[in-house]
Amino acid sequence: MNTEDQATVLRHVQHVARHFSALRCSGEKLIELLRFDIGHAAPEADALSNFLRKEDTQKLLEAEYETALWISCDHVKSWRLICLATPTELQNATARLQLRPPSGDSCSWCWQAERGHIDGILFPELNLRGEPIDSRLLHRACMRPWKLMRNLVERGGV
Amino acid sequence: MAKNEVSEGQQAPAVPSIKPLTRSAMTFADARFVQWSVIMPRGVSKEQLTLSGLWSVIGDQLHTGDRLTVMAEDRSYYAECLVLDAGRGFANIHLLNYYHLPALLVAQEGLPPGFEIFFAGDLGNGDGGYCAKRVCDGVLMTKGHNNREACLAALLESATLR
Repeated sequence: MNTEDQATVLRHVQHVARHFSALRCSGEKLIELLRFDIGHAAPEADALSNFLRKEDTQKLLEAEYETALWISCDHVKSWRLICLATPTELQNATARLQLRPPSGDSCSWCWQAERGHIDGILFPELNLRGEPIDSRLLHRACMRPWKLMRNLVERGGV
Repeated sequence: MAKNEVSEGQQAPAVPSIKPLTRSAMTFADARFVQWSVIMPRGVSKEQLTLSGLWSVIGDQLHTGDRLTVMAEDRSYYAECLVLDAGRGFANIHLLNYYHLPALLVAQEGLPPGFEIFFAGDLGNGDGGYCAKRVCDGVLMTKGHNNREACLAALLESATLR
C-alpha cells in the first residue's frame, strides 16, 4: 500500500471511528465497514488487515488522528475502534464527566465493559494529589480525551 | 635593583581576606531543607501566595529554607516559594518564581474570537477533516487537518491572524 493509500485509509478509519464513537466487533466486520466507507478505491481486505495490525499504524492513529485501535484480550479477540475527539464546550464536557457507565468494569470514556478482567487493561483516574477520582476506570488510550475534559472543566473552559 | 613600578602615593590594592567555610556549613540539601509540594485551591491569586494567613494552619511544619512547589488546582499557574520564617500560626514566604500556565487553546472558548473549528468528515481531496471558519461570513480559513490541534495551529498561522 503506497503512502497516499495509507493516508486515505487512516482518514477513513478516523471517519468510521467518529461515526460509531466506540466500536467493538470482529476484525472481518471492521474491515468490511472500512472498505464500504472507502468505496471503489478500497484496498484488498488482506492488505487492509495487515496495515491495521501494525503497531506503527495504531500509534499514528492515536497520535494524529484522534482514534484508538487495538485488538482486545477478551475471549473472542474483538477489535476496538474508539474515537478520541473531545467535546470542547464546557457544558458538554461537564455533562460527559458526570455520566457513569452501567458497570463498574467499564471504561468511563468509551463505556466498553471488560467484564472483570480489568488488571492491566483499565486504570484508575488519579487527581493532582494522586488519589483515585470517583472510582473511574479508563483504557490507556481513553485517558487522553478524558483528562483533557477534566482539565477543561477545572479551568472553567479557558 | 629593579625599578619600583608602583609610584609614590599609590599602594597596591589589598586582596580582601575571607574566612573559608567550615565543613559543617555544607551538607546534603535533603538533610537540611524540605521540598514541599502544595496544591493551591482555586481563587488564590499570585499576591495572596505570600500572605501569612494562607499558611497559618500548616506554618508549624515549615522551616526556614524550605522550598514550596505550588501547583494551582485549576492548572492556571505554577509557582516556587521560599520559606523565610515560619512557626505556629504564621509564615513569612518569599515568591521566587511564578509561571502563568497557557490556556487550553483547543477549547471552544480558547479559540481566537470569531472563529470556529468543526469536523467536516471525509470528503476526499483534502476537503474534509478538521476545518476552521470565520463565523461572521462563513469563509473557510483552513481545512483538511487530521486533528484539532493541527487545525488550530494552521488557523493561528494564517495571514489574517499573524
